[in-house]
Amino acid sequence: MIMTMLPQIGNPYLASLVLGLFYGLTSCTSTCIPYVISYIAGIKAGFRKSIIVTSIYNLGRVIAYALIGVLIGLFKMFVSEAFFFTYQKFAFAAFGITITFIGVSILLRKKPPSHTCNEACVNLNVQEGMNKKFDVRAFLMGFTRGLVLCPPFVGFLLYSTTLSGLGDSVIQAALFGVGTAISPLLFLGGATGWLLNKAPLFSGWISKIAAVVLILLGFNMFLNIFVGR
Amino acid sequence: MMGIIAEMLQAIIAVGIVIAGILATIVGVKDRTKKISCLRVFVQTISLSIIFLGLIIGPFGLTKYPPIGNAPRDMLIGTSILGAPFPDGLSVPTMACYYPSGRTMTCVLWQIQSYIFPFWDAGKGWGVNYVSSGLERLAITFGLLMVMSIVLGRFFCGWICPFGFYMDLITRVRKIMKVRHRNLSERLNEGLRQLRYLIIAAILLLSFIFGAEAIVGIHLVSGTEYKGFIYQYFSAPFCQICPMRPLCVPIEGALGWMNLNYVFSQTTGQFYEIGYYVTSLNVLVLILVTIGAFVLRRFWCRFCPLGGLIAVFNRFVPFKWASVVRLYKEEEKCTKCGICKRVCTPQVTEVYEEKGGDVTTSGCILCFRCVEMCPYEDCLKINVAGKTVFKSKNWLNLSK
Repeated sequence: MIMTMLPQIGNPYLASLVLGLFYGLTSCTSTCIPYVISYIAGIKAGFRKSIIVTSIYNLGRVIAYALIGVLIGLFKMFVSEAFFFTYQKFAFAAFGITITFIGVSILLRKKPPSHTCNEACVNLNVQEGMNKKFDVRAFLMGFTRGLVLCPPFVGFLLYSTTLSGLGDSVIQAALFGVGTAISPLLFLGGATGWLLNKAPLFSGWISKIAAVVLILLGFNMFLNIFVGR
Repeated sequence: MMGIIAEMLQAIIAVGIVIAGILATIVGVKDRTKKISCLRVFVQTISLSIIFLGLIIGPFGLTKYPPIGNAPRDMLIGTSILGAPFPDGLSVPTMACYYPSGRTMTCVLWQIQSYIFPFWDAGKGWGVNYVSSGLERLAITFGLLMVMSIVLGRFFCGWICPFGFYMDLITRVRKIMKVRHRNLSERLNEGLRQLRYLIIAAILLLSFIFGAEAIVGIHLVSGTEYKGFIYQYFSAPFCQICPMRPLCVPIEGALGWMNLNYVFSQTTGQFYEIGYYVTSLNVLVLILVTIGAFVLRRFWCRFCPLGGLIAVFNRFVPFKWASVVRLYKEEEKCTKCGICKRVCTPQVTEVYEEKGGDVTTSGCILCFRCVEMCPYEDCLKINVAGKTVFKSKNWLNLSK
């Protein structure tokens, strides 16, 4: 439906944004939510931290889309079907490795001492990205997820095959990403963190389960790619 | 015209009886340590009657779906007030189970689950036709839940919920049998209290996963398709373990309001493993909760997800100011005697521990047992819309 509407929108930049907004409301949220929620539960983030984490994840996706826009603008990639499938395999593998690694890192996280947080514990937390404003793991997860060409983005690419220059493709891909970022995912991520934070006695277990879920999701991705399941 | 006048007169008489009953309880009960408890039992009885009003006033023999039984299936206040967009009844944050006949209201948890899956789309429903989308119905449900929770909070749990009443009755039986209750450790009690948020998260997550096809067009779980196993038998995940359903459906069956043969035919597997009306899992949970309630006062309320939902909205900082029913404590009048802590049915410790001011917490079911038992003059107060309606009295005649 949305693809038929797009030609009616005269401005291609606006059309990219609308397409992104539409997919952000539908498939992007459902596709990304297992990873984002698992990660939020894994790092025991509260409401504010969850919103920040989701935003960073979305930023990673937007940058990945812009990068793909650069590749399209420069090399007119994804024109050949064989290249598309090979690329997808590697993109999935990268995402699978990233979420497996993140899951393992959460699972193996050293438990800070239960008494007052001394300097060493503060340093440990900082190292783990707990107290930092910018969450590298969330960014990496978003970035590698963005590199995977999901059906909405493929839809966008089909729409944007007429793009001429490098600037056009980068801006439109980024606008598509921005559109998908303004989605219920932000709210759902925040709500998850808020709700799970209400059960601090279970946070350790929730974190471990979330880490295992991330690892399983990663393994599942590998199985899908290499075993052809 | 005459019909409307007759209905209005009936309503006025009913309201009059309720008010007279409340006044009689307040005036008639002389023991100050039982005044609120007696009033609460009266209000709980009235609430139960209102929730299942259809079983009292009928009309009988007009069932939409005759195999279920002779009692009115949907004598629904919600349909009258909200009309066709909301045919399942008024959402109330109490365990006013959806499944038995004669109810006037509906448990908000069933509505939240079912409107996500399987009734996200307009049209489909268990014997009803939804003219509005699932999202619109969810908006109404959440709107009503939020307003009621913000205004009255867990007053619903202490005074209105039929399952809370059931547990209070078990407590009375225990007292008659002269068996002493037990208390959980504070950590375990806190664990149970936090567990309800995980149950809420699980309910929402499962409903969303089941309903993913209708909501976002991705089929995640097999059996969620129309007439699939999950669609027919597992559509409201929490209702499969809720102890209220096996409590009211068999009672209604035994009393002839529901057809038990039909009820038990809507199941699969041996021992009613899973089914539309009653499941063996339901019955098991009910048995466990009943045993639990015999030993621990208000056992279910400690981890009830519905209570958790109410608390989430009522204790949410931006909405706290709008809460009408509150419990206040005056620090300088408290001697830390610990009576409030001992008499609290869900073992809330904040009333005892907190210094003063508004001591209403998410675990408190607002039964006000602490207020009527506190022996220090004006130490604990019940405030309704800013006005003190009841305060603790020196019933032990302690020297001042």
